[in-house]
Amino acid sequence: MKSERVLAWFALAAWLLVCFALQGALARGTGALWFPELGLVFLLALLARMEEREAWIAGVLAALVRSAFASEAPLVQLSGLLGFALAVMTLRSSLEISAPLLRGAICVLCVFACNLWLYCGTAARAYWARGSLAGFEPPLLALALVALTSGLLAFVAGPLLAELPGLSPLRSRRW
Amino acid sequence: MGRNTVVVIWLALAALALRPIENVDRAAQLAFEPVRLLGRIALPFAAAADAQAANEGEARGRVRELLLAEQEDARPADPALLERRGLVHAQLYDRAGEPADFVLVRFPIEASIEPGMPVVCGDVYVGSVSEVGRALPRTAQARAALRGPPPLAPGEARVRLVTSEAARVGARCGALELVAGGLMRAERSRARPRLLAVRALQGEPGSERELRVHEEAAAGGPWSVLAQGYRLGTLVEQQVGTRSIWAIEPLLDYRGGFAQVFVLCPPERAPAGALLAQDPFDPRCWQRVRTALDGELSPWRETRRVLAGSRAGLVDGAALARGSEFVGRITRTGYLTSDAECLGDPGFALPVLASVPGQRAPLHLGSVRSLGCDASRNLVFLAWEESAEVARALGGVARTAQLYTSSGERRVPPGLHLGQAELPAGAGAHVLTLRRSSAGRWGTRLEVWIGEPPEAQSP
Repeated sequence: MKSERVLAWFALAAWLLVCFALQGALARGTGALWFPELGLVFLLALLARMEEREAWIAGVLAALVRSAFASEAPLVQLSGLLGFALAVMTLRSSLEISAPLLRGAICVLCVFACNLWLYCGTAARAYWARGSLAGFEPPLLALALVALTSGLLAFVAGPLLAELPGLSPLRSRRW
Repeated sequence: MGRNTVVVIWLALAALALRPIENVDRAAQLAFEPVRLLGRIALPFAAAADAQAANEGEARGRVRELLLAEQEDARPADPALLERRGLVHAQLYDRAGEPADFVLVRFPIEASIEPGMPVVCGDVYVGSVSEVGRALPRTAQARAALRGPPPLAPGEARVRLVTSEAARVGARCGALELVAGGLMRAERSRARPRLLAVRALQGEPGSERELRVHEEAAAGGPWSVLAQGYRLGTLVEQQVGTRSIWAIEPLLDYRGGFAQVFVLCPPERAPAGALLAQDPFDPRCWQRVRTALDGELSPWRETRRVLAGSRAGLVDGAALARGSEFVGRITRTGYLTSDAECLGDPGFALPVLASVPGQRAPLHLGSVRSLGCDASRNLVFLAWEESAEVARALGGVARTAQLYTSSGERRVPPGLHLGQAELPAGAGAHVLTLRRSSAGRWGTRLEVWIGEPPEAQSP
């Protein structure tokens, strides 16, 4: 692997770190209910332009970085983010993800599915640990709101996020 | 790597995510641990916490008074019940880790307690000591720990409650003698049984219905007579189908209605006077930590990433606090970082104490379970089943109370403030709305309970 590609992976990790940290720091109080999933939108923007064989590495990298700020179990996050990458790549092969409206719609769908998965993983683990799901109710409205604002962000700023400095060796397709 | 291979890997990961296997989880946590330290990068972005309450010292003083009142309230009030008996104060230490109808208590290490000694709360009989911790050589301790839960340490005892199926205690009601023990099966199969069962009844009860313990050494063992005269409850008639049987309406909610007890022993075995010291705010018991964020990435959760782990002395289940306010509990401890679940995280459960205006001693509400918080994170909704005993204590009137953590979890000290809530009047299932003073904005500088240093535990 060329050194510039290695550097690009480090740059991706750094940008993911910034996105998740910013999201965690800014999404407080009532704002947390609608604040977009910055990290996931950035990942989607980049996945849209990556080689498929590298997309899985990006998913795993995003799971690792996200775990620095999130309390879900590592395996729940890993399966969630890898599933996110899988879903985006599957949709990319049949839909034109570079069109803003489709990009936004795919983002809404994938972010909602990923967050729902994180919820299901946490609830399942609570069930095995405590023997009941008391207190757990699917927060569908909150997840839908976050997915919608994430879709809006992807619609408006998707290409911009994919053009962040240091990532050009990872971009193989044009919008 | 082809998409099909990734799908297979993803399916395996998904199965492991939904059905955890301990060793795989541990390996995954180990692999993620170095990256999780990167959480430090967010520290400069962290918003300053709301200023800590200026009257923190006053709040702590109130809590100390409350806990002292709780201890005093557990002391038998009837002078006749104190005659020719020594009282050893013990504090409920662990209920969650114990089998049903057993609790772990801590008592002054110099007290000479033995299995079979009765345990009381106020004038009410609670049960008897079933096992007392002994000093073991380190190798024996390690062997015992490998076989099951860690053995009891000196100063710890396991108490079998009278609600246990195997518990038996003689009782008298006027001239009528009976044997009580265990719980009577609830009439509705889903309801939680709460009435004590009558095992052997010699004759028909008269007008007198108040039951007191009546033990003979030959039947209940040498220490059982010390419980003579302590109250057990009221004899009540119950209809089960077409039959009419007798049961005992208890005076105490055995499931979560007490945290301080006294072990009855001969006077010469009890240490002189002092109550077991407890100060939840002893600085030696707390370790300062930083959290990665003053929030979390999932909007429906309330968790924290703690930037310290077992290397700094943190263990699973340890309380996380900010000053005198309870924040949450450590749930997954790594070597360098840990995860904590907070009060507003759905499914979070803990035993709770309520300070009601006009009542000196606090009320034990038992366990509450979080249903999550509102959008502002100022309100937390708690599922709570109000016992008949608490409803009696409230006197049929809804009361506003300050809620605190209670004893019953090994690594959560009692007396940490949760917030204010209105306690409904009637027994049954309720949802409490807890109003927090901090709205969940604790900042990134918190403290974790690491317990009393070894020298503080020894006499």
